[in-house]
Amino acid sequence: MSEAKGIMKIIGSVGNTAAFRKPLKAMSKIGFVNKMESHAWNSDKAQSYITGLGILSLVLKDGFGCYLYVKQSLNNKKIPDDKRKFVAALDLTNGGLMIAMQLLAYATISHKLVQSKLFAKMFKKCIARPALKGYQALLEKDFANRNIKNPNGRVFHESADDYENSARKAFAHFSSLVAATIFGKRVVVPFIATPLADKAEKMMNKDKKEVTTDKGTENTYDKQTAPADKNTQFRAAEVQQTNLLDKYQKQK
Amino acid sequence: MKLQKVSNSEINGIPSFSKNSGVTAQYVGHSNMQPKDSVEFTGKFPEKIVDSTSTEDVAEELEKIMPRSLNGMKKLKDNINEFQNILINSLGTGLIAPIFIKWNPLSKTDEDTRTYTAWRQPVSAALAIATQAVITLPFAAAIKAMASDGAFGQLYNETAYKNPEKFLRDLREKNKIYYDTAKFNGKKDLEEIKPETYDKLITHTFDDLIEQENKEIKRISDKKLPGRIARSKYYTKNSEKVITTLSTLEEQLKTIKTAKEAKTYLNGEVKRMKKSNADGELVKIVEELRDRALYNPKTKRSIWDKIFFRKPKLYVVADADETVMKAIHDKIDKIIGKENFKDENLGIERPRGIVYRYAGKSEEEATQMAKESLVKTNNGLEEAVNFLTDLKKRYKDEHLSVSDIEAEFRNKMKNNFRLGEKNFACDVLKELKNYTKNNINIFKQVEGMTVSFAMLPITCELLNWLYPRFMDAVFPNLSSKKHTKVSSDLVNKATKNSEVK
Repeated sequence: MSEAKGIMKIIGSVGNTAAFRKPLKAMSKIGFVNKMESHAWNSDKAQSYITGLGILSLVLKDGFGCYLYVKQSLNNKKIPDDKRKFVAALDLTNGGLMIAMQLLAYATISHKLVQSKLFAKMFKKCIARPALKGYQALLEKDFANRNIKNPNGRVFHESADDYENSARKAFAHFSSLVAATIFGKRVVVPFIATPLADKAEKMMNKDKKEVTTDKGTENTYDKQTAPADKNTQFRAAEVQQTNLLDKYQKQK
Repeated sequence: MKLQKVSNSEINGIPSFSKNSGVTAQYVGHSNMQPKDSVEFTGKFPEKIVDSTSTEDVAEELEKIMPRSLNGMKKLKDNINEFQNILINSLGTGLIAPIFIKWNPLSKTDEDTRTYTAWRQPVSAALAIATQAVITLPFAAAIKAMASDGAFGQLYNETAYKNPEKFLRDLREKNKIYYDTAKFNGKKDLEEIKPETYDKLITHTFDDLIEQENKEIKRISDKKLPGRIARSKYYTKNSEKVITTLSTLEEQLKTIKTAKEAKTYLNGEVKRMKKSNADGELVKIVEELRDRALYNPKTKRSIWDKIFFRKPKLYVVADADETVMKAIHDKIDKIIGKENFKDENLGIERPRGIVYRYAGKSEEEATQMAKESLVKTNNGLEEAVNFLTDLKKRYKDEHLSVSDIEAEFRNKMKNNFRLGEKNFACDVLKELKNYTKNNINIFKQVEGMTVSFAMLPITCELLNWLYPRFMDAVFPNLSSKKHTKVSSDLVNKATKNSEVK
């Protein structure tokens, strides 16, 4: 575990260099970035905005990534010919579906109603009034043990609300993200994208005109069957000549 | 006595430390404690002093007794940024996606191709973490440090409230807030908050206070009142059942000494009652008793604790079991207590248990009584909303200073006003803290988006370079090497047949 702390310390020192501080300082002066402050006055709205930005970031990257992947897959000679189009087609259908599915999953899961139901399902017991009464009694006991004046009921409940709100916001962010990126993008999309890729591949091949070959120059070489195996009639007559070959023929 | 949060640099002789180093931050002096204006370094870190009128402090103290699952969620809230987003996305890409590509019954593509494609996902996920996520970490660390030492403009600058006592003093005496922006613009003098931001800050502080009161009004009308009416109606005809059930439970609970045992026992009772189709309202009453015993002392270190904190974050409330058991017995007593008292509302002497108040009454009477029991609370809340709305208007029209506003609160205190104890300046401090932190989080997210987006072409190039090579090296049968192998098999076969011939 001390390694993790060591790494964080190194990251901190790296971040404290001019290479990181200068561009950040410049970025903090950009007008449109600063205009986002209007979302910061209300913590709930700020959190929804941050989650929305997170999803937007994923969607933009997926869109751009999709374009790059398709382009590169089609031109990547290292991928076998017969698989190249399928890989590219899968990239394309994946990209489109991923964007749509992430937006859909985000819109569904991050909805206020769904969120409150999900949160209640997981944590209702711990945040309901009876449980809070128990925690209030314990907090008062703990404060009394430490010679601290007890908070009045209003302060206690406001604090409990603050505590609950923080947990709710994190839950909303991560559940939306998990729904969009794991369920929507990685469970639903590949399930639909793979068969769609078959179709996309066919469409790609359809556009390609078939090359007509002159009969005189047609290559008759069969890559699948060796010439020795082609004339079975002739071979069958040969095979009948010896008992050993007969045995071989039967085994085949 | 004012709350003073002492910054590290202000305590002479105390080594520099922070929350991240595993040492609790220091707070000095507040209304409920003996005056303590300095901290003496005795070799031990002094215990944190809590201001029990500050919701921020009480919420922090709550963490010690609340369940770890909720604490974990609360902690995550402070760490939301692009790194976590990429990590979650990559988990899906690397671990879940391959399963649905490889074993997809709807696909007609041959299995080799599907396996070949499936392996692209973990490779792509590993590259996304290595290139896009890791690069956001030093940027996030830089933002945190720069916000703290004033290297940004006012929006992302935390120096204004680094010393809370100075902040409160400036606000109350000069009606001003100051930022240290020397590292941002080189000016040595402290920079005053922009007038439009100050105006918004005060207005939003009022808005938040009003919203809080309105939320409570809504909670009462949507949840508390319907719940109380349903319970009161139940008591009218089932008082005997309630008394018998709770008396039996109380007898059993007398032999139980710990919260854990009480929770197990009451949970068993809830299950038994549900199985025997007991009344829903009666089951709810027993569940409410059980939920008072949810406390689970933190005696073992959590994984989070082990990873991020050098010193164990363990906490046990002394005499917790007795406290929980008392809370359960008190609740039972509140419902079925037999001791007589004079009920001012009804004008009669009756056993003090609430069940006796409603026993034998009609449902309409019970509903009316339940409504009346909340009138006082509701009136108090509405009075608070009106007061705050009026004061907000006066602030705008008459340009009231913070100390003027606080004087208005104090004037109301005499009349048992709900918000009489409010320190408006502390609420302004909380508002500014939230506003700045939200701005920093938005900035972090935008920075994360920009940096990871800029890294995307590199990730794509790397994937295209690495993926075929990885497949060649690890799965030659699936990659282009397979074709070389197939060709040589064909040649061998042909040669053999020729030999046979």
